[in-house]
Amino acid sequence: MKLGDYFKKYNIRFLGSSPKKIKTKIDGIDLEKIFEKRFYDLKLSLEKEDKDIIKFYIPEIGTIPNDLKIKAIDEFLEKKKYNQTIENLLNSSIKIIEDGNYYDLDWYKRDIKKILMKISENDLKSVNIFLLKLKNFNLEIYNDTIKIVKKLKEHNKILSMVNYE
Amino acid sequence: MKLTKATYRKPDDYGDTHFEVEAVVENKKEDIVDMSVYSLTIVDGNNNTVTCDYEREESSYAEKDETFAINLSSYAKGYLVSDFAKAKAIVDLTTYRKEFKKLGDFDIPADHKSTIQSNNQTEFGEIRVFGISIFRHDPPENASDDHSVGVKIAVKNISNEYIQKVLIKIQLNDRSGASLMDSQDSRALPPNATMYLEPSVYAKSGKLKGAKLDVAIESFHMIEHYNAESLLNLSKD
Repeated sequence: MKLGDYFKKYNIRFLGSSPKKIKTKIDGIDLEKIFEKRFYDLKLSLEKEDKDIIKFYIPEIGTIPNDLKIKAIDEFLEKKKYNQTIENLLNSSIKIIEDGNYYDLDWYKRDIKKILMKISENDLKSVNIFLLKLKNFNLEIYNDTIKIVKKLKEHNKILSMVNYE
Repeated sequence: MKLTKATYRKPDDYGDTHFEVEAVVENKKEDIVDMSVYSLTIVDGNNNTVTCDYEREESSYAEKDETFAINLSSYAKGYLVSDFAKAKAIVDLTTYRKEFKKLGDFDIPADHKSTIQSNNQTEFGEIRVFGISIFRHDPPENASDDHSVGVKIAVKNISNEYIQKVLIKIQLNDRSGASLMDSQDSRALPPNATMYLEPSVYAKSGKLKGAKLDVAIESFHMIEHYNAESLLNLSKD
């Protein structure tokens, strides 16, 4: 596969000083030769040819990290997709209170309210796993969370299906 | 902002050490966060620079009181850190709100010696957008190859605010309105500065007949700065 096809497949773009001229150069690179390399290495090798690339990026996602290996793009995209899931939002929420202080608890409550408002039927399993994890972590915070679940039921009917007994 | 993970891996066969950091950020402002820009700096116990991955941009979304998570990573040669137990990760992050405006649909010039122009200068928030010129690059040697169409747009910051990013998006649609290709160009826009953007698209000559170019502008304005740091732990993975 050529690098141009790889870029097209993953919608990878770049910001450079003269994009049009660089494009042809990049398109023809044999992907197999650089598959184990990082995006930073690609940037450096193009710099040697006076092709100044400011960054590689994917629209609506963001900059591709310099340390990312070219072969690891699928994992990177999967991670980005996972970041948006309710499961990940709940995991992040619990991290707020791990080693947290009083202010973090307030932050957690604001955050969990927002997440619970968004859940759909497909997210019920993740919510139930989260509550179990929370119960084992801190019973007091778990009870506070259940109060929030009960309070929000009228705004999100799915919360009636959450298992907390 | 809180760092919920800050780890390093033991150097690999090439002597490279990989650093991974996770952070959660709460938007306390009324403005909706559409983008975050951040850096990850790793320093040793004497604050010597080990590595710094900067200007990492991400499409983050958070309304007021919502939290979003980011993953940061970097790598460096292991010999740069004499004692990993004293090394730390420093994260600096800024959130941005987005403004958007469609600038119009334009015809494609008939050849590389003619142009289609908007003939109007507009103001978009704190940005003056000079008139748009659509042009065709020189035709390819082989006429059956793709022909390139470019857009010339100069933008001026008419405020004292540093505008992190001005983005011009163009979308090429064929005569039936089906999308053929899109492209974008972006630049930072300091106070009073004028910048030039020139995104381009390409298609077979026949496809360009009756095609339209949809042009839009987006700008990203600062909401808030966040900073956090943490000692590094050995990764359990």
